[in-house]
Amino acid sequence: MSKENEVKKSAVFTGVTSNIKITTNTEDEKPKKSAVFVGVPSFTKTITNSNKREN
Amino acid sequence: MAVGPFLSVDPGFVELLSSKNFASDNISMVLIPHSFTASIDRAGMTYGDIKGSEAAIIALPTPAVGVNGTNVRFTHTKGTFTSDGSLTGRYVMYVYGLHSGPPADADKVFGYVDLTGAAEDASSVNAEFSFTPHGTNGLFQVQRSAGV
Repeated sequence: MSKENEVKKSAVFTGVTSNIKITTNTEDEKPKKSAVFVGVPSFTKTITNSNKREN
Repeated sequence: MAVGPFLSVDPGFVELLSSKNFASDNISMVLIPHSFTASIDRAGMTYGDIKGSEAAIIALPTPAVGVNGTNVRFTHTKGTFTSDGSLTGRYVMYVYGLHSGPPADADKVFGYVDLTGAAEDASSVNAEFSFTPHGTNGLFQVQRSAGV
C-alpha cells in the first residue's frame, strides 16, 4: 500500500466546559447523635411551721 | 432510657439552702459516666470524690431562683457540654465552685440528675450533649409558706 492510499482517522478531542461538582466529606456527612435532655419535674418538700394562732 | 429527677446530696444541699446563693455563687455542672455509679453517695460527696471521672465540666448557665406558685423554683438555662462533639456520660452533678477553677476538692456536690435511669451511658457523636431543667418545675423546687 502506498502512502497515498493510507487511511487516516484522527481522534483528537478537546474537552468542553462543564461544571464538575467535587464532593468532599462535609460536617453533615459525619455520623451524628445528639444527647439532648430535658429534666423531669422534681420536688423537694420542706416542712414549714403552721402560722395558726390558738385562741 | 429516661431522665430522672434531681436528687439531692444532702450535706451539700443543706449548705446550698442555708449559706450558699444558687443564683450568684460559682456552681459547676459536671458530666460523670455510668462507671461511677457504685461511688455515688447521697449522704455526702465532694468534688474530690468525683475528680478524675469528669467527662466534661461547665459553669452553671444563667441560674435563677424565683417564686413559682406555692414553691420557690431553682433553675437554669440549657447546659451544653458540647455543641458538636462526642461525649459519653450518665450523671449531671451539680458542684460548688467554678469550672474554670476548677472546683476545690472540698467543694460539695449538692445534687445530680441521672440522664439514663439505666445501667448505661448516654452519648453524643459529633453533635450536641446538653441538659435543660424542666420548663415549669425547674431543676428543683422547695415549698414556701403560703396562705397565711
